Formats: sequence, C-alpha cells, structure tokens
Amino acid sequence: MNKVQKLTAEDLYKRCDFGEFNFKSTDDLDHDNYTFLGQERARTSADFGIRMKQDGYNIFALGPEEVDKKSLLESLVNREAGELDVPGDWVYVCNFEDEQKPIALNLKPGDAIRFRDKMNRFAEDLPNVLTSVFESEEYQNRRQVIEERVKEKEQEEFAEIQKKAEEKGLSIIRTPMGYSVSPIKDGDVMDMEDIKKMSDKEREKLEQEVQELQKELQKILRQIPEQQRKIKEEKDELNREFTEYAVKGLLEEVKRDFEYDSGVSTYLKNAKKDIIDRAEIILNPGGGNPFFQAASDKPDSKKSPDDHPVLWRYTVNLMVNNSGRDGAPVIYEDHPIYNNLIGRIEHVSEMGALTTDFTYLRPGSLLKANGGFIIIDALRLLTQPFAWDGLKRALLSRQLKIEAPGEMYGLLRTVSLEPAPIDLNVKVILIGSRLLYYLLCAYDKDFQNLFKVEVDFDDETDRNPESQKMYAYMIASLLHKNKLLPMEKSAVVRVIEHTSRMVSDNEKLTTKTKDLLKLLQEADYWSRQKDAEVTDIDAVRKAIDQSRYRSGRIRDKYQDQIIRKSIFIDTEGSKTGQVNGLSVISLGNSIFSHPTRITARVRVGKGEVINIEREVEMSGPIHSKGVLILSAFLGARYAMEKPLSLSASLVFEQSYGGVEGDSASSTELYALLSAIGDIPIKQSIAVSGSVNQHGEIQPIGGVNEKIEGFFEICEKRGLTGEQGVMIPEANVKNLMLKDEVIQAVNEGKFHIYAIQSVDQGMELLTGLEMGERDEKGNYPKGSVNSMVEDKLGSFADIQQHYIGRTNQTSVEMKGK
Amino acid sequence: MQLSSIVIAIDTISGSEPVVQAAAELAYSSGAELTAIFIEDDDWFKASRLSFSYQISSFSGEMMPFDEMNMMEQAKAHSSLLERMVVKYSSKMNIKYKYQSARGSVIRELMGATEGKDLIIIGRNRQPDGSRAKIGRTARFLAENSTIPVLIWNSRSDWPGRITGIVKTSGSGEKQKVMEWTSGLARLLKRKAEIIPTEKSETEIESDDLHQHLDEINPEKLGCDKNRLLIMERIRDKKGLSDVDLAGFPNTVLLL
Repeated sequence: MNKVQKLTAEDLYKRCDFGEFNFKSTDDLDHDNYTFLGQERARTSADFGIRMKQDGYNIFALGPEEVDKKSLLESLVNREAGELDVPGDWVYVCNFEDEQKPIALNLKPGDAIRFRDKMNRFAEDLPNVLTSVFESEEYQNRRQVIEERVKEKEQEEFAEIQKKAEEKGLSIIRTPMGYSVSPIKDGDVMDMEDIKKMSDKEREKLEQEVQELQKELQKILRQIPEQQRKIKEEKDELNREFTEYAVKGLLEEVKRDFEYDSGVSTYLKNAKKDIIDRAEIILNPGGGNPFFQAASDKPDSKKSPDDHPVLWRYTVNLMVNNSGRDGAPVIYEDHPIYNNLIGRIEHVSEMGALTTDFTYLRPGSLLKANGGFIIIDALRLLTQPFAWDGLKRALLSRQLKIEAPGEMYGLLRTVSLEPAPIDLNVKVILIGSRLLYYLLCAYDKDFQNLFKVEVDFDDETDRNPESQKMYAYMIASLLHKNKLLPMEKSAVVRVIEHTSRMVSDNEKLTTKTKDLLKLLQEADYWSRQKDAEVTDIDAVRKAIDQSRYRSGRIRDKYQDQIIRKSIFIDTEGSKTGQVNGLSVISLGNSIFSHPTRITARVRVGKGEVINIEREVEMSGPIHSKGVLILSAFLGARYAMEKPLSLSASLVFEQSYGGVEGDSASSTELYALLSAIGDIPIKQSIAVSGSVNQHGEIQPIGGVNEKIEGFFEICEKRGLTGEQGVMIPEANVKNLMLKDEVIQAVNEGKFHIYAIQSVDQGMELLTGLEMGERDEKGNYPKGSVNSMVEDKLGSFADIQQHYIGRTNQTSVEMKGK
Repeated sequence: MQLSSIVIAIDTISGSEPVVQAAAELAYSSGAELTAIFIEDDDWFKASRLSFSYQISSFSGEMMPFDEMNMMEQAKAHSSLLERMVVKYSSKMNIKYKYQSARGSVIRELMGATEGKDLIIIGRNRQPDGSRAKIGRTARFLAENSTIPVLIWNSRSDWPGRITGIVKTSGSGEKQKVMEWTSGLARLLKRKAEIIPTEKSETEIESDDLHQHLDEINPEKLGCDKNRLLIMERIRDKKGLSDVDLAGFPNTVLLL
C-alpha cells in the first residue's frame, strides 16, 4: 500500500507565472489583440453554422449564462455579414384586384424609399393633375360636345312636340313625376267643365289628339334613359382617355427607375387601370357621402393620400429598407414576442368597426433580418405565446407570412388581410442553456431538423503559459471596453489565479467572462475608493474578500453555531463510530462548507446497513447509492465466507435539510468500521471522499470550500497542530486554497492529506495498520481489519446461535 | 341695398338645388331670412281630372295613373323632398328659414310671396327643352313684373367670381341703385365688384371699390361670361313692364 501523501504549501495553490511576458499594466497590452479564449470548439462550430448555406443549419448556442456567448457570435456573424451582399428592400403595395391580399415587391437596396417617395408624391399630385386635366378647355369642350349632342336632339324633339301641341291647342305640363299633355284655353289648362261643354265630336277629336301626342311624348321620353346611358358611356370613355393621358407620363417616370423588377411594372400597370376606374372618386372623394363630408374638416384637396378614401391605394408601405448597409443585416431581437418576430397587422377603429389595409402592415425582425442573421435568446422566445411556433413555421416553409396568431390557429373569423408571403432566407441563432437545448432535442420533433448546428460553449479552458497570456489580453480588453481602470501586472496575476479558483481547478481557467467582469468591476470600485489610477493586487484581494463577505452571512452563522456548540463538531480527541464529514451548501452567490458529524452504530442483524437519512426521505438517490456501495465493500471484504450478520445505522447528526451526493461515503465507511471494530477515530481530521466497491477513494466536489470551512472552525478554536483534512488524491489538482490555509500548512499548524484508498484513510484516522491477510487468510492481530473481522465473526456466531434456538423452539411448539 | 328677407321659388329637386344652395349662402352672408316656396300648380290638378290624360314618367317614359288623388300624393311627397333639401342647406349654413307650400296659380302665388321681401330668386330653366338661352314662363313673368329685385339663377351651384353692375342710362337714380347692389353683393359674397357703363359718356363713378373699364370689355359678350353675375336696372314702360331682353344674358342675372 502506498504511503499517505501529506501536501505541502506548493501543492495547495498554483501561482501564475508569466515567464518572459512582461508588461507593467494592462495599458501596455493591445486590447484588440484578443480572441475568445477557450472556445475553440464553439468558434469552429459557429463558423461552420454561419457559413453553411443549406436549409436547417440554424444555430443553437448552448452554455452557461455566465459565458458571453452573444459577443462571440456577434463578432463572427458581423464579420461574415460584412462579406455578403446587401439584400433587397421589401415593400407592400395594394392589390387592386383584391385589397385583402396585398402584394410584396422586392427592390434593390435603397430603392424602396425612392419608390415609396415617388409613389407618395404621385398620389399627392394626382388630384391636381386630374383636376387640371378635367378643367382643361379641351376636356370641357369635348364633354360639352357629348352633352350637347344628345341634348340638342332632345331639345329638338321637345321643341317639335311642343310646337305640335301648341298647334293643336294642347300644352305639355311638367308634373312632379313627369309630363302630361293637357288641352289649354286662353293660356290655361282646361278643366272637365270646359270639356263637357264641347260636342262629342270635338271631345273625341281632342282625346285622340291628346293620346297621339302622349304617345309621341312617351316615345321621346323612353329614349332618355338610353341617351343618358350613352352620355355616361361617352363621358366615361372621355374620362378614361384623359385620365390615362394625365397619369401615363407620371407612371412611366416611376416605372423607368424600377424596370428591373417585373412586379413593379405589373403593379404600375394595374395602378393606372385602377386610377382610370376611380378618377371621379379621386376628384370628388366625398361623393355625396354625408359621413365622409361630416368627418372632414378641411377641403378635400388638402388631405394627404393616407386620409383620402382612394389615394391611399397608390401609396407604398415600406417594410424593409437596406440602404446604407455594408453587408447583410444582423438583428438582435431582445423581445421576441410573436408580433415582433413575424410582424403584425394593425387595425384602426372607424365608426365602431376595426378596419385595416396594406398600409397597416408592420415588419417583424425576421423580415428585417431577411438575407442575413437574427440572434434570439432561446428562453425568452420559448416563454412567449405563439412565438416559437411562428418561428418554426416560417423556417419550415421558408416563407414569412404576416398574420395574427389567432388567424394562424383558425381562431379569428374577422375580415383581415392575407398579405403575400415573402421568401425567407435568414440564419437564426438561438442562445440558451444546455438544459433547454437537450429538452428541445428530446421533446420537439422539429427542433433538430431546423437547428442542426450546436455551438457548445465551454465553462473552462486549460491553464498554461500561452492561455495565461491570452487571458491577460482578455482582461485588458474587458477593462477597456467597460471603461475600467487599467490593472497592474500583479493584479492581473491575482485575477488569473482566482479564475482557477472559480472553476476549482488549478489546471484550468474559467471562460465565464461575466463572472470575470464582475471581479474586474469590483476591483475597479475598490481602487477608485482610494483614488487610485491603476488597480493593484490589494484591490483585487479586497474585491474577492468583500464578495465572500457579502454572501457569507449564513456560512458565518453556521460556523458560529459550531463554535458555540449548538452544533456538535469535535476538533480534538478520538471517538468510536464518529467522524467529521464535510459537505458544501450552494446558496445564491455562495458555496460554503458544512462540517457534519457522521456517526455509526452497529448490532447483530441480518446484514443491512440502514441509511437513516434515506429512511426519512432526506437522502437523495446519489447519497443512497453511496451507502449501498460501502455496504457492498463491507460485504466483499469481511463476509466472503460468513454471512454479514450485523445491522448498522448511519446518520448525519443534526442535519435537517436533506443530503445528496456520495462525497461522504468514505466518511460513513470509516465511521462504520470504527463502530464495528470499536476503534476510536481522530476527531481532529475531517474527511471527504467518495468510495467505490473496491475501497478506492474517488474525487469529490467543492474541495477548496470544504478544507477552508474546517480550517476556519479549527482556527477560531485555536489550531493545535494536529488538525487537518483528508481528501482524495484525485482532488489535489483542484486545490486553490486561500492564503491563511497555505500559511498554516507551511507552519505545520494544519495538514492536508491526499489518500487513494480506504485503507490509507483508516490508518490515518486510527493510527493503526489496516493489515493484510497472511497465507492462512488471517489478518494480523491488532490490525483494523482483524478487529473488524473478529467483531463481525462474533455477530455471526450470535446470529447463528439465536436462529438455532428459535428454530428448535419452533419445532418443539409444533410438535406439541 | 336692403337684404333682410329672401324668397326662393323651387320646383324640381335637380333644378332647384343650385338655387337653394346659392340663396342659403347669400342669406348666411347677409343675415337675411330665407323663405322657400313651392307651388302646387293648379294646372296639375286640372290635368289630373281629365279622364283621358296620363302622366308620363320622365325617367322611364312609362304611362302612370293620373288622377287627383295620385296628384295630391305626388305633390305632397315632392313637397317633403323639397323641404328636406331646404332644411339641409339651411342647417348647414345655420340661417333662419321658412318653408311654404301653396296650391294655385304659380305666378299669382309667387307674386303674392314677394310682398314684403327684398329679393326673389328663381331658377332659369323651366321648359322641357332646357335651352340655356330660353327662360321659363314663370321666371320671365317675374322678371318683367316683380316689384322687388329678381335674381334669375342659372344651373351653377356657386356664386360667380365677379359682380358686374351694368349701367345703361345716365340717370343717377338707376346708377346709384345698381352701384349699391353691386358693391353690396360683392362685399357680402367677397367677390370683385365692377361697374360697366354701356355708353361712353358716363358720369364719374364715385365709389372707390368699383371701377369701370368699358374699353377693355365688349359689352355684347358680357352676357356670355359664366363667371359674372350681371346686375341691371329694369326700365319700365308706360304699361309698367320691363324691357329686359333676357335672351342676351343666358347666365345669372339680377334685375333691379
């Protein structure tokens, strides 16, 4: 068996040595000479994902919240976006055939604004243009010719029939509903009395003449509607001709600039047709509509196109304007609700009803990012109703369709718009936690088809001279970006060393830049408190200590309870069946040690090891597993030829909050062995370590906090020179202890032991040898193994005897 | 020029609407009370009592029943529509107004309605042939016989841009009246006023807001100018009839 390793001060803390890398302060370092440290895998994956053009290769960037994933991704995305073409602009325009289905047009970058402005100006000018055309002398004359042509004929016919009537002593009277032919006498209409005075022949003749004239009049009047229709048709045709003349030139001018897009040409052609059909309403928007007239408070000609009942149709809704861009767009959507992502259709209330048209469409960030990249926080996206489904739908269909969520699910039945979908070509980058990523992989069937690139950010990176140098650059960069005071070299060294402590590994450095930034900011604060111009090592130490102090109330309270003996922890002497175990509690910002007394009691039994924590459901599964493992070890070592005839119970004394993890399993085993063999254990040594079935000690977590926690208790009580902590040898690389501990170890006042096996641990704790079996299979007398085995043997005998007697009694009773 | 009460003669909706609109504007500007009068022509009822007489629809040319009962219903309905139109414009301009409907001889009733009024306005065209040069019988009668100023309105819906007084004789009384009405109306309607003598040897025009420019205008073409409201004095002969030849003035004319 190897000897127990007693650690020296050098083993407890790894110093940062820059070697030949010399600088006085971070001001001497190039703060732009910084690449994201320790994220090679993430960078390579991101690069691949960003450049991969195939469908479904969107990116999910996973990793701890404290790692600044967004900055790395933005820097890579911006670089790539700068090399891509600027995508086209998008506008929505009126669909003259079906207003509910606005048309999307894709124009060259920067052209959308020009197109919109030209069309808006065109719409504003249209009434004046049409007015001038319709007020022109030529138009008036031609219109008059049409009217007069028909009216002249009417007038001639009327004049003729009027003359005929007069010749026959009749008159054509205008009545409220039409006309009537009546006989007159002395200028007045004859009444029935006058008629009765006439002879039958005269009356007959009169009636006949009246009827003949009525028929002729009827014939003329019957033509009037037809003639009115003719007039209207001719006038309409005239209006068309003049309207076309008026707008043709203007629209051609617009078309010339945008001829490259056939959609624009078609749109303008349809606009011309629409204007021709609606010229009258354009000029007379009120059109006798009392509501419109009542609602207007200024002359119609001064209204903007948006307020005009027709002119709005010729305006343009600018959705995406990519003028001024140097490359593809990169959009960060920090509030990914459905409407912000997909877009929305706004409505306006008019006389109690909600109405809308293409001018009320609003773009979402997906459209703005079309042709480029969009970065979204995954958790925020998933917690917004409809947003995730909306995004997936857009990505799966490769089209963006602006519609209300209710429409998407068929919930709404109001009249709304169905704007033409827009082809979508966007790279989506989601940023989220690992848990979220794996949940999506497991439960969302679309997720892995759409997000094929995982960009996995690491928590830590290797610590070596090169990485330490890069870390110094990273610190310089963070200080500069965040406008913090520059840092002396010694302070940089201390920061780097502390980042190893952050990951509890003296061979690693943390990549959680947010945690690092927090330290830099606090050190900067303490520097400024003393009006320093450069942050020194003292400020860094103060920042570390103060951070620990701020979050240490519960830790200090707990230690206080131990010192005041409300919680029983011995740090001197020996006890049988009792060991000081070490746990850690993670609470908010802090992790601190929680020394606990672990005790074991044994008696004759059937081989069970009772985990009292588990019995009362205060033990997690990993802890229970640890207890089962140590039970297996026990059986394997001591019960190969005899049954394990004990009943043992293990408990974490004064523990009321639940236990999890197997870092105390070796501690429990020591307590159990001590209880079985009746062997006292040193209380001056605290223990942490996981044990396997072979008795090997496995590494545990929180080793620094555990050691420091027990040290502080001992220090407060007064170091005796006997106290120490026993840890797994595999944890030596995790040690980055505070100065007080290192100093105490250096002075021999405190000890830290690194062990590989239960045997080593037991020897250290008892001061006795474990012993090895001789040729006959016996352990040396007085060894730990011997004492334990002997005791178990006696338990087995007692058990055997008791069972024998019980069976005999039972047989006797049956016999009777 | 006194203008505290205006009467307008209305018959058809389409023909009367421009008259009503113009009269309402004038009443608004001057503060005058507007009286609209619709006459149910006796001739209608007489004609309706003839057993062989029919009414022919001006819209479709179809024959319609034509008896006294029908005629009364139609007259009442028509009167309601006209009243509604008058109310609409009067309310819009916020003026005092009255609506009257009477049955009898149109000319007699209208002449009676002019008593105590300052101005009567009537539409120009009444005959079926609708020629612009001609004038309806009623309008002609009023033009020749009314004792108060008569405004004969053509079919436009807004007041012409210029108010032009035509001075035919050198009599100071006639000239004065024309000048008063010209400048008065121009002021009320915010239009440009001008006096045009038809003879060169006219006395001086004293008013500053009027001007004369005989040399610039051909008096014979004045009447054809749609953008002028012509004001002229009627000169009565011994029988008391006016000598105005309205054929030469096909647009809006005010006869004093």
